[in-house]
Amino acid sequence: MSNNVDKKIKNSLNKNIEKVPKSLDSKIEDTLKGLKRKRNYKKQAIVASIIAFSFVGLGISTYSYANKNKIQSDIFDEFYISQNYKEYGIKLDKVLEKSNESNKNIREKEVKIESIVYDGYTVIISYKITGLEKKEEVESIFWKIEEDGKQLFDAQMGTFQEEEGSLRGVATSKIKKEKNRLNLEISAEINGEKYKLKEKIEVVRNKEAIREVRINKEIDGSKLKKLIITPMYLYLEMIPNKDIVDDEGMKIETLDGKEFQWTSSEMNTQFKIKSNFSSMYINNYKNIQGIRIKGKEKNIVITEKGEVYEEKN
Amino acid sequence: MKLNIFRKRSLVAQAIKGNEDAFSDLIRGNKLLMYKIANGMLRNEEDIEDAIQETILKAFENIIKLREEKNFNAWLVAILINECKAILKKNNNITYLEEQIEEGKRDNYSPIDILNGINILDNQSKEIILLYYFYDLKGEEIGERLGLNHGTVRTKLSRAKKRLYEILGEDYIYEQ
Repeated sequence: MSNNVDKKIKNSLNKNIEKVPKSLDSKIEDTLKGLKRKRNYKKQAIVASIIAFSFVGLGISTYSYANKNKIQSDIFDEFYISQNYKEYGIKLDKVLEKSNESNKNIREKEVKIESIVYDGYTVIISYKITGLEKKEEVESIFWKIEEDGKQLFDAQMGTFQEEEGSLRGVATSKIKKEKNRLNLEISAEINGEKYKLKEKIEVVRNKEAIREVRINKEIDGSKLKKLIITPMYLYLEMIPNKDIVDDEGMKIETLDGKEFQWTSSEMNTQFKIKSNFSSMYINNYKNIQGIRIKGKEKNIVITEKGEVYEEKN
Repeated sequence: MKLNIFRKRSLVAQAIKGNEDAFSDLIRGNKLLMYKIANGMLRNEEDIEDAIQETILKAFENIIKLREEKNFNAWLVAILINECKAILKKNNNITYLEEQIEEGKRDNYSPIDILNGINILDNQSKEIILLYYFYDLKGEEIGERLGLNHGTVRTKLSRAKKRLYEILGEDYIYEQ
């Protein structure tokens, strides 16, 4: 039984060793004391404003990919957002205003949207909140990103610097139906206090950078419908077999073998018969020459020109 | 549906940013793991000490390149295993995995076989299997540590064990 094998492996690796010998322990401490810093720290790239055009009078600011200025955000790096954000992200640096009465017992906070990325299917904002006093306040934070009055699905992540009372992170929202333009209202609630961005933010995706390939082929019992390739993510849509649902979706790689990292999957069941399954993969690559969707017995290859064919394993 | 993940800045993140104290704390937290691994691969105490000291220096020099902070253990162990291999080679005492494995089930496994097997897994699987075998954590606990859902941990652990059993020449029985 595998349980017995597991036990044997555990015994063999651990061999009743419960602590490090004293002589080794003191050598480890000596080594740690002797460490000298020899690093060259990454220089922060200069962040340039890339506001394309703005309709301040209407209370709407429009931001577009059209400008080629690049942004750098260590918070995107920290949460493994595609490295392509550097070219497709937009610098905002907008501070949200408090929209309800202040509670004098609570410390004043600054809630700031640093940048935004939109690829037509997913919108990601990076944010920074300062003036947080305790962990409970961090846990009470609720980001609200609305489009046409509808709350978008969202996930938020952040890193709390307790000593500084600051939280930096990203909030990610998926769009149900692809759109070239999004008109966003952004607000946040912290410990009962409400903050709102005074203007609406209109973000425009780079349509030219997005490709949609109809596949319509079966692989490992799943019917692949289409693959959408954006600078940030790959979205694979299919009617799945059960194994795929239990697993992490299919493996996808470039033609030269670089794997796209799976990030999430979701299922939409229709009339209890057919289920549409969509998997998201992080796209960290540029100039993709072609894509291979890997199956057990065969692969599906999509060429740069958008041709789709099957390939034996 | 809403997902909130807020966390304190991890020791690994601080170490990547150049915090020497954070790096030292990480090493102290992993010294027993390092000792068990080096002890499994090398026989001589001096060699074990050399391998661990060299691993600490290399890890410190290169931690800035560590991309996936949640895979720190796997990354550290990979450096250590390579150091142990270098010492074995220098001592003209190379152990070839293929020569050691015999057909059929065995009562005992050589740590060197197991560690060689673990070392060829991808980083995330390696991290999961290290937490499973050395720290005796359950799937849910591993998921909590690595920010992965239970299903993903179960699948990856199952695949990693299957691969390991294949390397060890053991029949694999899928655990539900």
